[in-house]
Amino acid sequence: MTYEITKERLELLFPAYLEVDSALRLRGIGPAIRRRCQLVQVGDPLDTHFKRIGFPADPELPVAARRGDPIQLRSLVSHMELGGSVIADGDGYLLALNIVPAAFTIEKTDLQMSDFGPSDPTVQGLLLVTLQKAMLQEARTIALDLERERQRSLDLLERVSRAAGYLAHDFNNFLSIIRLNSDRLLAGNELSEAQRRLVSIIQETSERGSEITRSLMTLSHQKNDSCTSINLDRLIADHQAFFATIAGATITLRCELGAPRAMVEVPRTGVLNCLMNLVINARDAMPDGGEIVLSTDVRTVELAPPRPDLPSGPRAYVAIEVCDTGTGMTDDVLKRAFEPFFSTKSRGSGIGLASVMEFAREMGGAACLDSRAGAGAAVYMYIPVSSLGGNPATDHPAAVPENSGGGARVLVVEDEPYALEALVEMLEGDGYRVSPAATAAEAMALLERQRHDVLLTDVVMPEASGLDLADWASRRQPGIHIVMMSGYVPSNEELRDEWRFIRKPLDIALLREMLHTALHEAPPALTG
Amino acid sequence: MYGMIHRGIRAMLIEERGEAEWDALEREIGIGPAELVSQSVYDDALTLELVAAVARRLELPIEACLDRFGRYWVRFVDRGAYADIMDFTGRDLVSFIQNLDRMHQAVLAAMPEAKVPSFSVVDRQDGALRVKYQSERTGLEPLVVGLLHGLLDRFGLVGAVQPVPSRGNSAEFVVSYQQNHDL
Repeated sequence: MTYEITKERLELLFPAYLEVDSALRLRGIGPAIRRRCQLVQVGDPLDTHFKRIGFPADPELPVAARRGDPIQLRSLVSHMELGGSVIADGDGYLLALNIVPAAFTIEKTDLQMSDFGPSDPTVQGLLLVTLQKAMLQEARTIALDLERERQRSLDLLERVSRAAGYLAHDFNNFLSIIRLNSDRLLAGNELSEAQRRLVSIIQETSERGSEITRSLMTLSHQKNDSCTSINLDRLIADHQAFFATIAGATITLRCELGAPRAMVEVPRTGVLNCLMNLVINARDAMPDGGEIVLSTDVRTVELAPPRPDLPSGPRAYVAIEVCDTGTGMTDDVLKRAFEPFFSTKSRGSGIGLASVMEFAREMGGAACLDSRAGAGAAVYMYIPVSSLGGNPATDHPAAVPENSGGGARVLVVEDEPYALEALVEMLEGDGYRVSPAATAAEAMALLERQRHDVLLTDVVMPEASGLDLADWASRRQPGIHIVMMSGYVPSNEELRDEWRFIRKPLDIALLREMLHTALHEAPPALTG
Repeated sequence: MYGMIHRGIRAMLIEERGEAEWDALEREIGIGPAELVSQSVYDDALTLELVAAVARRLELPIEACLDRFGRYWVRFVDRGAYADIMDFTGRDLVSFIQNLDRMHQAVLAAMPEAKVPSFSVVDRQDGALRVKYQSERTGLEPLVVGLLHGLLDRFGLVGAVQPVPSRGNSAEFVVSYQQNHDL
């Protein structure tokens, strides 16, 4: 069988071909060799530029041509190896060769695709290896970009969160002033019944506003969100107004709380974030309105331990259920719902449910989901119970008669003048001898001059905080009772055990009870 | 299209108008780093939305923006992780275009969801080429004009790219060129 091939076609099929005569002198050189080894010239002996390598060792070309043995050559003048076969060609031989990349890379090799035949699979291999390296390099760059972006988002979130916290705190202070002064109005006898009713509406509305601002303040203090013993029913009740606001006007939010004595060890803001995510998801599943039921219950179940350090076996959990009457999920969506970055919303991040699952697992619990298309969805979060001995929350302080001050001396420190004025009037009306101070410095000056039974101080004030003032006062006047008041709840580390804390806007009945109880206890320093 | 195109579009806008302009664009069309992952394949509608937003910011008609991006794309790929592949594909205009399909075959093997175009040299004369372009996508001819201009720049050539009438789902371009003696 004889084939004819043009030189142009030969150069295309075997760009690294060599032709030798019977004396093994070069009489034809392929374009890839001409480009890469310019010293190689027609007429040169083959072995001046190439060495036979491989197995079988050095068979004569006629033998290799007859038997069809593969041959391999190594260039003596450049880093190049060639592989192929020998074809007898009249009185000489055609070495139909391809370049064999030694390190299977194109980096720093000067190789080109045209150095290879059009069907040489080496090209695809080289491209894939190089593509893989390039993609890995890009993946590293993208990972850095994503991390930078994540950090930027976190920084922005923290700034916004802090700003929201400051605004909420100030707003809460204004609500506190409204509350105190409406209490002043009610304390007098000048109002008609209709007017009293209007003042009650003002009080109730400011209380609802205050619940929302307190939630905002809690969510904005995320930095030191360590685990503390929490009653989830109480937490949910405290933030119910906030959840209702998030749910929106077309959705009813109902709470059915059935775990009043169960305590759990969780970070307060972490659990609030989870509940917020679940309420947002439920809201988004009901674009035309509906109902969200947020319920709790204590259940003893056996869950697969989410961490290897946790024991297996049945145990008690607070089961939080957030259920909606929305569009529900198909089986496919349900299977993927907890996957990070999976979202069915056009601009959804896909981290809401994933973060709920991660949080529940970190706390030693679990999260699961039950839904059918068109039949709403229920998300369950299980948090291990740390004790069942908690006291059911009560919102009703013990009644303390007015005029119960008995001449006790109270130093009131409040930087909001209208709040200070209202507090002084109310306490004086109760029979206390009251010294007002607008700053910590004024309070210190008064404490230097006069012994006081109680220091009632705001926490967040310009120049010096109420916490520092309380610390100073406790050392200056051992035995003084300390009552802190603020819109945000200081951490346990900030408050001493013997100090009392009351949240703003102040519940006057609760404040009366607190002062009354404090003054009927032994002074703190004496109880040691 | 795959995310590397999005990264190229971003790099072009940042180079021309600065990072703040890109940040504003991200906010405008609601995208972020998750839409810029090179190896992910995104809906063409998103890519076209991105091109339209860049065109508005560069005050260009969409066709002119695609042309400019085509030119930029060659430079962008040439300086990144894929520079070795560009060199391997060809060291002159003709062999580069002739080898593009083989290079795209490797891309397809690595990213099976990608839709890659096909290029071939259908006629070749001294200083002129007729290039055939085929793609499942339509409307990207201005991008191809830009790409061919970008390749002329890459190989130190100056010239013109002229679309010529063609049949079916392919487009043809005559590329006339000469060495750029200013380089």
